[in-house]
Amino acid sequence: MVRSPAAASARAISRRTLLVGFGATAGWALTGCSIFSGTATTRTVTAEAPPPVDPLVTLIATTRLHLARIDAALTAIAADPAGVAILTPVRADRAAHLEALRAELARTDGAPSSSSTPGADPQLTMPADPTAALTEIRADAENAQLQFTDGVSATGRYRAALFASIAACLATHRSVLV
Amino acid sequence: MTTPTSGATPADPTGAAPAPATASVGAIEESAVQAIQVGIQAAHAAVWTYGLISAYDRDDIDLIKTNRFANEQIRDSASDVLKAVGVDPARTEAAYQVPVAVGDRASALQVAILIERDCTNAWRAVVGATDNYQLRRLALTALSDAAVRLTQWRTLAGVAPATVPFPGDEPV
Repeated sequence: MVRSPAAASARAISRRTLLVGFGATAGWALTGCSIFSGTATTRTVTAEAPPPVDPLVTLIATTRLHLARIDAALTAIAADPAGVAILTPVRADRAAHLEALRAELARTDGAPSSSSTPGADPQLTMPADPTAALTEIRADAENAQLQFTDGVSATGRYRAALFASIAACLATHRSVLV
Repeated sequence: MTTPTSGATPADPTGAAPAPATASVGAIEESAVQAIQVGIQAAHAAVWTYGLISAYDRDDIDLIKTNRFANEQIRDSASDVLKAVGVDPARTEAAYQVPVAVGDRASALQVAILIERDCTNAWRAVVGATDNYQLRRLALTALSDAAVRLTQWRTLAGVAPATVPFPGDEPV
């Protein structure tokens, strides 16, 4: 059976009309079910952020760790007098830094200076090769110099000067640890 | 010459080495102005003194030239900071009195140690005299560089230890 083009066209139009009508209805239905129109209450719970860590505490931890690493290096290269001669004054400087930083913490927090020394120093192993050991300690000095340099920017004037002085000392350590 | 009025000045065309940041650091306190003037005076004295000791220490002539140039650079950077806030930087003196009579390499090294110690003291004081973090960073760079130069001279002079724990905090 052959249908006339006119009949086919009329059927197509009527299907399109139906689809449009269905779409409009569906749209209505969706609007009626909108999640935004419900009456449920949304609760937002904001967790309170932990108090910020004083950068001084971090700098003390870094200095303490590096001091322990220097001690480990001194043990590892004990048979090399030249390496020991380089490391010994560096160790003395870092020990003086640690003492000054703890004194500053005690001055400002009123906390006993021993509060930042919980537990024993970590067990560390350093290369027995003097060149490799000095390279490790030099990398520590570089890392610490960056930390103290960052610390200079946003703190009180007294601390800024203390951190700057220590950062400058670490720059000199980099120059002698070669 | 650099232009001290803008934060986006081009690099110093006269500088052969990478030019240090010579831009303005913004507003600075009166205490910082005074501290910077002391730093500039220390740099002036160092530049002059390096000229003096170069006649007596030919063994270290390259280091003397390098360190003299470094002091000229920080002097100029610090001067730009002051000019940017409308303050005339301290001028150099015609001559300086050195605390040690320079007559040979040993005394030349001794004087070099003293002038760089003065520089570390001056630049550390700038850090402690301002809340402007850009100025603090500039002064910290000057302090660190002076401390490294101080260590170089102490090493050459055979002073042990070659380093000091708190550069810039040494009694004069």
